[in-house]
Amino acid sequence: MDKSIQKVLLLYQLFLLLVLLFLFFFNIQSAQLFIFLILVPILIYIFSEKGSKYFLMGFAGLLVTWLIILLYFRLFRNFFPIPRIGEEKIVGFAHYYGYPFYFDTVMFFIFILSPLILVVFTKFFIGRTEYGKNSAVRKKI
Amino acid sequence: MEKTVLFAKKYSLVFAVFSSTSIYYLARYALSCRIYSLQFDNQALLLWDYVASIGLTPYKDTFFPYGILYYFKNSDIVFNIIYYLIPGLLFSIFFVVFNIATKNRAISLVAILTFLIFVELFTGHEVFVRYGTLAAYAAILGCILYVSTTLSIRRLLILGIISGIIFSLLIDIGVYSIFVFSIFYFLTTVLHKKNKKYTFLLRDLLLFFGGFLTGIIPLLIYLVSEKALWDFVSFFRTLSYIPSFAKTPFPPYSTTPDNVFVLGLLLLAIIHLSLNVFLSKKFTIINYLQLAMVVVIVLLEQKSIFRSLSWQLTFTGFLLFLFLFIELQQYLQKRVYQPILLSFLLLSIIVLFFGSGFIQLPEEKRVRGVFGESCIELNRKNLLEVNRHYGMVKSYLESMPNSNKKIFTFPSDPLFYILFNQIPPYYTNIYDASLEEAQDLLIKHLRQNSINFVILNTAVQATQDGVPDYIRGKKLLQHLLTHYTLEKKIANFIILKRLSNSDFFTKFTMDTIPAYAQSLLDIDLSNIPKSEGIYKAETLEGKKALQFSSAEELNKYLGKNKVSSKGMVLRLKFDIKEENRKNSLSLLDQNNTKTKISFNSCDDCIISISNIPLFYNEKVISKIESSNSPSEIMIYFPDDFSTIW
Repeated sequence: MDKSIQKVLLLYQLFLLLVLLFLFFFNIQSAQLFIFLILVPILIYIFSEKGSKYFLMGFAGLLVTWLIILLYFRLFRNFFPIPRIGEEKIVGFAHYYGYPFYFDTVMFFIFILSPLILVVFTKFFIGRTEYGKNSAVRKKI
Repeated sequence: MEKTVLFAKKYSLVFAVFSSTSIYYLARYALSCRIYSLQFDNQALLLWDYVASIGLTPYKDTFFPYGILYYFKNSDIVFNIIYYLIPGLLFSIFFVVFNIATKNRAISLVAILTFLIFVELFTGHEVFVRYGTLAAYAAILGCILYVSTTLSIRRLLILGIISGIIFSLLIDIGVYSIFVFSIFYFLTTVLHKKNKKYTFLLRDLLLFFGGFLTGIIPLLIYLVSEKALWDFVSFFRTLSYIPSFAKTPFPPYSTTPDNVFVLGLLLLAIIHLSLNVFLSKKFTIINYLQLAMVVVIVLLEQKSIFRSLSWQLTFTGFLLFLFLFIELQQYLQKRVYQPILLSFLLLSIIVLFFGSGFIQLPEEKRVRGVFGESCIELNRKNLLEVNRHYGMVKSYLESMPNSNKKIFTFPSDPLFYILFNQIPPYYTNIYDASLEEAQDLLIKHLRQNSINFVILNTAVQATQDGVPDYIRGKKLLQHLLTHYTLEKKIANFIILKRLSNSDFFTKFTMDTIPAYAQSLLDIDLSNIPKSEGIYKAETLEGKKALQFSSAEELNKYLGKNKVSSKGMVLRLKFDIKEENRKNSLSLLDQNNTKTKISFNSCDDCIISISNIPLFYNEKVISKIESSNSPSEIMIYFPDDFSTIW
């Protein structure tokens, strides 16, 4: 048994217990915070794999990119055309308020495909650099 | 005997999960009566129970966007029992999947128990039967494809048959299951890499579809016996238009706790799986299950993006969380004592339950031992007590001397069809009838059945999504206001009586229902003129038009000439366009009745005048006023203006 990992897990459980007591007494709900708290161990596990730390910086960069997209959300939305009222003469929310029909779909796929693209790019980039060509990481990747 | 004992021992817990959950759901919900409220969605659900109880055929006699399991579950005992056995079956499947994923019995028990509680608190059996079926199908597929990425003919046919059966009972989930199979099978084939030729995929898909067609045979037999096969095919065509009028923005919902949870876990799983691929790690069974849930969530999110499902998908996020945790547990099991891992899982889930802010389901009101027609009757009595105005409208109409008491309701309130024991029209609310041909069908229903009375709810001016009903249901409303006249006002309901070529905007109307009449005179076209200007302007190019450089010039012309509103298309051009600014236009008819038309700022704005309620009947336009000075005003009377809204 690895005592250091057990110790960390126990301390984290104590922290979660304090969080629970806090919730119980103050009845504050914050989805983003608590969801993140319970996912921390899984996050650490995912990025503890050998070679994955090279992608960590890339993911941090991706997070910043998403935040920028969020800040300039309206600007990006205005790039998309407003819906056309077709032959069937349907006028729903999108037509009435001029909300681009496929904007959300495109943004969703950018959101879920960007990690995949990042991983491919990072692997390609590491393979191309001098460091990548010579390092043991290259062999691993 | 020994084999039987071994089999029983091995699957005793699975059987325990199935029997305990089935007993729970059957005892709590089966053969009981749900008490509905007066809300839009509830009235629609009650109406569907009503039409099922009076023997109408779905897709043929009534618009029903779900499968026959949902249609008959509250009117047929067999379907009811099958429906409430499904949660037990699904939980058993997930328990077997947890056992396959982890050999740790304690973890799998904690996982299934917490999953049960999660579904009961945050998902509800109705949503779980629907989307849980898809998740279970994907999980089974994940387990099968882990064992062998190339499927035998027998397995392909069986999977296709299961998909077909799902389609027969739950249409939308059946369609999703086809996508889940296709996408997941392709992904696992690519990931496995051993089979570099993909031509066999086409053959396998055909075999799958062969199984699917076999699975839908019972549905086909039912549809043929009810002579509803062609109606079912047409229904699918209509379904394809639903995204068009159902679409609402997703970003406001993306930050709700439910969506943060599901999307956060989806992203985490995609990162994890893609890292596994590019670090050349072998995919384990748990990775296959994670991939299965990713495919399910990505597919269902396409629906959620159009119209937010948010809380309905949280259980899929929870499943993904459990699969990720099981992988973490397997990684740590040789380094950390099991009780510590178990307590950590439990604590995390408790924090999630209390701190997440997920929508908790309200308690459903149910009456045990009442089913079918008795349930409809109970709801009828209950709703009349909740809102006595429904009863007042019914009493008034029943006292009318006219022998034909058939009614039509607008924009919704299908409860009236139940109160009058009437067969409702195909569409019972204007939201489902957003398609113009659907409104044509309703107009045909009004004519063919000689409907003498229309009940209009003036308190509802936008049935869904803030889109006014004079926009969404323009054609139907136009017919109602030109073929029916105001008879009586009872609370927020007005009763219209049939009268051809009637004008709605009479003095009697303005005095009796001033607020509602005024709402039809203050029109907001929002983005429509802008959209028409962008996409339809070229259809007007080259057509004969009266041109004016200002509203004053136009008014001089209107003063000297009688200009009819019939078939008139107005086109306004503005030099200065300010975003987020509203333009407004006022038109007066020959009686000096004024209608104000607001619309979003646009360079080239096109308005079809006969779509404005005041001009549903042909009138003479006597004057026009504009808040912003247009640089050019053109009036068209095109022979064919069917493309213009």
